[in-house]
Amino acid sequence: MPILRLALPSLWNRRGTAALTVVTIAISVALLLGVQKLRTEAKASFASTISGVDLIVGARSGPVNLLLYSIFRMGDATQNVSRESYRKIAAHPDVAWTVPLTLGDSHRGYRVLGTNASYFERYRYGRMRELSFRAGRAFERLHDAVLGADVADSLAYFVGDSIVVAHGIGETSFVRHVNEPFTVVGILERTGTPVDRTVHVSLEAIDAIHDAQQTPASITAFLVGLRSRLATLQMQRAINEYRGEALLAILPGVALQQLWDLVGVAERALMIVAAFVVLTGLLGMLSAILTSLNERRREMAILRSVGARPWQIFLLFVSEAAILACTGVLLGIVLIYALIFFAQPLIASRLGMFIALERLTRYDLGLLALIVGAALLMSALPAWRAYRHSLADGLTIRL
Amino acid sequence: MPYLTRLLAIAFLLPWAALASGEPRQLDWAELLPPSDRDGYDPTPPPPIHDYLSGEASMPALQPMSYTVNDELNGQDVRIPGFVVPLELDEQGRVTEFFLVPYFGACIHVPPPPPNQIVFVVIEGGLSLDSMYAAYWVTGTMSTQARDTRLGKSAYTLAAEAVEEYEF
Repeated sequence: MPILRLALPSLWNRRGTAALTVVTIAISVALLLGVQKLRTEAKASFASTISGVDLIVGARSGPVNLLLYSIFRMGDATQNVSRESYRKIAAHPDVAWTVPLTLGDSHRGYRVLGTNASYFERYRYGRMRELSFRAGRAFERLHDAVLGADVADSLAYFVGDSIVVAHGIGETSFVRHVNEPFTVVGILERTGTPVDRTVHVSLEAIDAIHDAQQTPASITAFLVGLRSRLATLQMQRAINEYRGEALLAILPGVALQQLWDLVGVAERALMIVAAFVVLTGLLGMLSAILTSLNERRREMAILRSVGARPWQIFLLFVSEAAILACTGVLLGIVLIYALIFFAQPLIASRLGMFIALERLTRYDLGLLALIVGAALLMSALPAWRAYRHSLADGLTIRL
Repeated sequence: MPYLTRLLAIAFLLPWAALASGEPRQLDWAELLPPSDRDGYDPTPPPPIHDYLSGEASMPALQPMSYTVNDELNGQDVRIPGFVVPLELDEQGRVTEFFLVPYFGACIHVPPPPPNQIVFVVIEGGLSLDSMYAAYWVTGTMSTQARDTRLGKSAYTLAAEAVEEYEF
């Protein structure tokens, strides 16, 4: 304790450099915690996008590709699924329910999804959470549309508004289905999933605007719920082996895991970068303490003259590093929470990712403890040198 | 006096409690088959087939299917190794429900294992899966629940208490 009482005023005496060191550590800690937070939130938003579905079926491509276009509305389908195959699989005795999905149109940059009313009953996200309506109801008539929360918020649409759907999926399109305007009949509650950025209409409406005479009626993909989960693998096999059409059935859990394995590489890279930033911060602290060594020889000599032992000099330096690191870490925590608090709405609207203000996880605390530990370990170097000086110098210092 | 009897009761019951919570039984996949089916059991996975265009009879039809389970395992604490086929993920991306299967790739390319070679595992708190290619030991209580599917009348469900990575 008396050593701490010495270390604090000594640091205060050099408050300029000390403050800079603390800020460096704080920023690096904030960055590390921020990356950690983003990484867990990204994983969570991936993982909670779909739940309660046994199989996703689409044209034969790849599991991740099918998951991306059918659920995340990213990229495009390679081929459609004929209504005939869809009906055949939907009628199978092991199949409890199916939800058809048709993509390909857009409204001002938001994807339009053609489906049926069972979508609002069957779609689950998070841990079996159901979709619920913030306003209005599900579509009933041909030209009814139901909007996701983001679509309604960013385009300022309300129940009763009329919207025009365009062909293609760009921000704008020059082929608009102007003669087929839709009426907004419902707006969904925010889910934190791609559902928020989707305009939902009925399958029949998609057929109507595309003139079903020209293109044979087809859907992009469909979700399958089975009577028993145990039939999942056999059903998947049967669909993959189906000779009528090249179809692919995937288990959402497996595809999500594969997707995460892919994204995990970037995530780990980010984490490594953040770790190096923290290391740089700590090295900054080390060099600040090391450069102060010479200036402080006199201080040490005085301490020695009033009875300080060399090991107390050693401890003085270690405790100084401890104070710097702990203050830095605490400031870093404050910094990242303030940042999350202020950036929350922006991130939610731009990236569709909701970052909650939560307590630090045990893993975070472990990381922080590691940082403080590393700081203490590093401080052993200047502490040891000061210790040697104090042994050798005595009271006669030639600077 | 009541204190003493309680102490005595504890002293008497303790060895029994220890016996009941003994080591879980380590299972081999062949033990999931009923004893009568075990003789012809071939643990090697069926060959992969990729020639969807050949038009010959599809492989699943040729796969010998065994639908019955070993009822002896009902309610037992077991420990069994296998690969994880994730079914349900929680908000943190941890797998909360999965199929445990005897060989990797049981989800695609090769015909799936017969129903009595698949264990449906439910795990409280979830399992954070580092890689789908890793094998795991799953410990928990096995039950042979009756389920009505076209594939069989019953199958295995395991309420997992612990999962640890399998060291090859």
